[in-house]
Amino acid sequence: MRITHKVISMDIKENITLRTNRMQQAHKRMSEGKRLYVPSDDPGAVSRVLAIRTLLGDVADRRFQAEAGVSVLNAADSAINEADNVMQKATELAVASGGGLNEIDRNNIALQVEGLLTQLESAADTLYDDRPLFIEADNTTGATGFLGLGLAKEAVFGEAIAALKSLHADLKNGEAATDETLKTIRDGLDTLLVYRTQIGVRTNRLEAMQRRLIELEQDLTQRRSIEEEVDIAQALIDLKEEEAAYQSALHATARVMSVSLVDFL
Amino acid sequence: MGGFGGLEIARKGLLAQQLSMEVAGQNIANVNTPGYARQVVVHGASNTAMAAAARTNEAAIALSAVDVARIHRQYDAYLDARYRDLSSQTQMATVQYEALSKLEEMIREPSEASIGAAMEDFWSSWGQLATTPNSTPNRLNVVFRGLAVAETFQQAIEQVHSLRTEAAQRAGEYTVRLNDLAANLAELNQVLVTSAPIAGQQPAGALLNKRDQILREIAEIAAVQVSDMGNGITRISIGGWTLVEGSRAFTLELQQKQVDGEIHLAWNDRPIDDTQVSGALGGSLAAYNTNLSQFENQLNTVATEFINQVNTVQAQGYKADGTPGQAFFVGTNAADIAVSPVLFTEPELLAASAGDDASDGDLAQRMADLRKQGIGPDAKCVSTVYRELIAELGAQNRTVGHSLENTQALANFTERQLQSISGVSLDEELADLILYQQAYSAAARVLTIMDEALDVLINRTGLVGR
Repeated sequence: MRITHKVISMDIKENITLRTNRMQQAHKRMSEGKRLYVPSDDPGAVSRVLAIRTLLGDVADRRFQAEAGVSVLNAADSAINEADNVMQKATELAVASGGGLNEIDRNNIALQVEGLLTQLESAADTLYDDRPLFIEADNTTGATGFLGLGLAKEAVFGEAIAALKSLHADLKNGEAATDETLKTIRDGLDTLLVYRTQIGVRTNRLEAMQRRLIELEQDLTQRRSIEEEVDIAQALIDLKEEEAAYQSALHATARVMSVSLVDFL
Repeated sequence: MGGFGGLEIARKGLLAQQLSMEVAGQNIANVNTPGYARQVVVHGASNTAMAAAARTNEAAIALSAVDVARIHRQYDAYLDARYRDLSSQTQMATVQYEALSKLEEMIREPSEASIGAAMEDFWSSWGQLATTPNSTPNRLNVVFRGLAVAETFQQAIEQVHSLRTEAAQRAGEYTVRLNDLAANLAELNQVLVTSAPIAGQQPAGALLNKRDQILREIAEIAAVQVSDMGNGITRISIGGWTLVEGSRAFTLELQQKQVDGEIHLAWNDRPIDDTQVSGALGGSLAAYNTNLSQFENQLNTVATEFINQVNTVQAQGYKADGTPGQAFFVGTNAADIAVSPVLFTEPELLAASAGDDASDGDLAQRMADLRKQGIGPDAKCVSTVYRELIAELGAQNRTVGHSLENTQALANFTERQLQSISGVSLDEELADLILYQQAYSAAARVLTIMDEALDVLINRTGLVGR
C-alpha cells in the first residue's frame, strides 16, 4: 500500500484524538469516582442501580415505619404500665378496706378508688399523635388502629375498669371489697399482664426487624456502590497507562511528521 | 525531417520533461486540496517516425521522439463509491448518536435529579404519611413531592421536544444544502457536455476532481446512487428517485405527514424511507421520526401509567373528612401531568385512609406500595416500566455508538485505500521531479550537441584551406 503524507497525518490526528479522549475519560473516572454517568455507560448496571434505588427507598420507608411502630408500642406499654400501677394500688386499697374500718375511712378509700378510676380511664384513652391509641370496640370500618396496633380499649382495660367500678360500688355500699371484686381485680391485672407481654414480644420483633432492615440497607448500599463507583486502584492504573500511551503517541508523531525528502535534496 | 530530425527529438524531449515537471508541480501544489486525485504523466514514443534511412547504408531505422501519451488521473471509481456509501452511513450514525447522547445527558439517570429519583421520593412521602395520616406537614410533603415528579416529567418532555425541533431544523438545512449540491452537479454536467472532449480522451482532471468532491459532499448528507453516463457526466438518484439527470436537477423537499407528524424527504410528493436517505439528513430524520419520538412515546406511557395508578388507588380511599378520594394528578401524559391545584391549599383532600375513619393510614401505605406492586391488568409497577425505558435508551445508544465506531473504522480504512491510489506523496513527486529535471538537462545537452554538429556543417564546411 502506498502511504502518503496525508495518510500519516490522518493516522496521527485519529490516534491523538483517541488518546486524548481516553485520557479525558480516565481522568473523569478517577477524579469523580463514578463509573456510570449516562445509561449507555452500562445499561445493565444502570438498570440494576435503579432497581436497588427502588429497594432502598422501600427499606427506608419500612425503617421509618418500624421506628414509628416501636414508638407506638412504647406508648402502649407505658399506658398499660400505668394501668398496672393503678391496679396494684387498687388491690392494696381493696385489701385495706377489709379490716374494721369506719364509714369515713371507707369513703376516703372510695374517693381514692375514684381517683384511680379516672387515672385508669385516662390511660385507656391515651392519645398518640392526636389519635386514641386503643381503638373503640364499636369500630366497624375494619381499621386496626394506629399502625395496626390492633388493641381494643375494651379488651385491654375493660376488666380493670369494671373491677374498679365494682370496688367503688362495694365501698359506696359501706361494705368491704367482696371476694368477687378482689377476683375481678386480679383478673384485670392478669389481662393487663397478658397484653403487656404481647406488646413486649411485638416490640422485640419490630426491633429485630429494624436490625434486619439496617443490615439490608447496608447490603444494598454496598451493592449500589459496587455497580456505580470506580475501583480507584484500577482507575489509577488505567490513567497511568493512558498517559504513557498518549506520550508515546506524541513522541512518535514528532519523529514521523518532521521527516521529508525535501530536507535531503 | 532530414538532418534536423535530431533537433526535433531533442525539442520533443524537452517539452515532455517540462510538462512532466509541471504536472509534478501541480500535484505538489494540490497536496492538501480535498478531492484532488494525483496525476501521472505517461510518456510514449512519438508516432511520427523519423526515417533516417537516407543517411545510412543500413536498413531503414525508425527513430522515435517522445510524446506525452496521456496524463493519467489516479482514481478508483469502485473505491470511491464504497467510500461515499460508508461516509453516508457514518454521518447517519453520528447524527443519531449525538441526538441519543444529548437525550441521555438530559435524562440524568442515574442521579438524584432524575424522574426516577423524584418518583422514589414521592412513594416515600406516602410511606411517611402512612404513619401519621393526620399530619398536615406530611400531607403537604406528599403534594410537593408529587409536584416534583410532575415537573421532572414535564422538563424531560420539553427537552425531548427541543431535541426534536433541533433535528427537524437540521434536516431542513441539510435538504437545502442537498438541493444546492444537486444544482451544482447539474451545472457541472452541463459544462462537461459542452466541453465534450475528443473521443477516447479523458475530460479535464480539474472538472472530474470537482465532480468527485461534490459527490462526496452529497454522500455526507444523503446516500445517492451514482451512475456514470460517460465523459464524466453523472446521473444520481436517491431511494430510486432521480435527483440529477444530465443538466437537470430535481428539487427535494421535506414533508410532514398529517397522521403521525413524521417528517420525510419527498420526491415530488413521494416520501422516501429514512434509512434509504441515510447520511446526515437521514440521521436527522431518523432521530426525529424514530429515536426521539419512540422515547417520547415511552416516556408518555410511563407518565400515563403513573397518573393512572396513583389516581386509581386514590379513588379507592377516603379523605380526611371521610369522603371518597379524588384524583391526585390531572393530565394524561408526561407533557400535561400536574398535581390537582386544589391540593396545595387543601392537603386534607388527599386520601390516606382505607376506611371512612380518617385515623388510619392504610391507603397511604397502599400508595407507597405502588413502588413495588403495580395495579392494573398486568400489575407492572411504574418503577419497572421506567427502568426498562432507561435500560432500553442506554442499550439503543450503545448499539448506535458501536455501529458508528464500526462504520467509521471502515470508512477510515477505505479513505486510506483511496489515498493510497489518489493521494499525493511529496517524496514521490520530489523524486520524480529530480528524474524529469535530469532528463530535461540531458535533452538540452542533446540539443546543444545537435546544434554544435549542425554548426560544424553550416559554418565550417567548405572552408578548406581558407
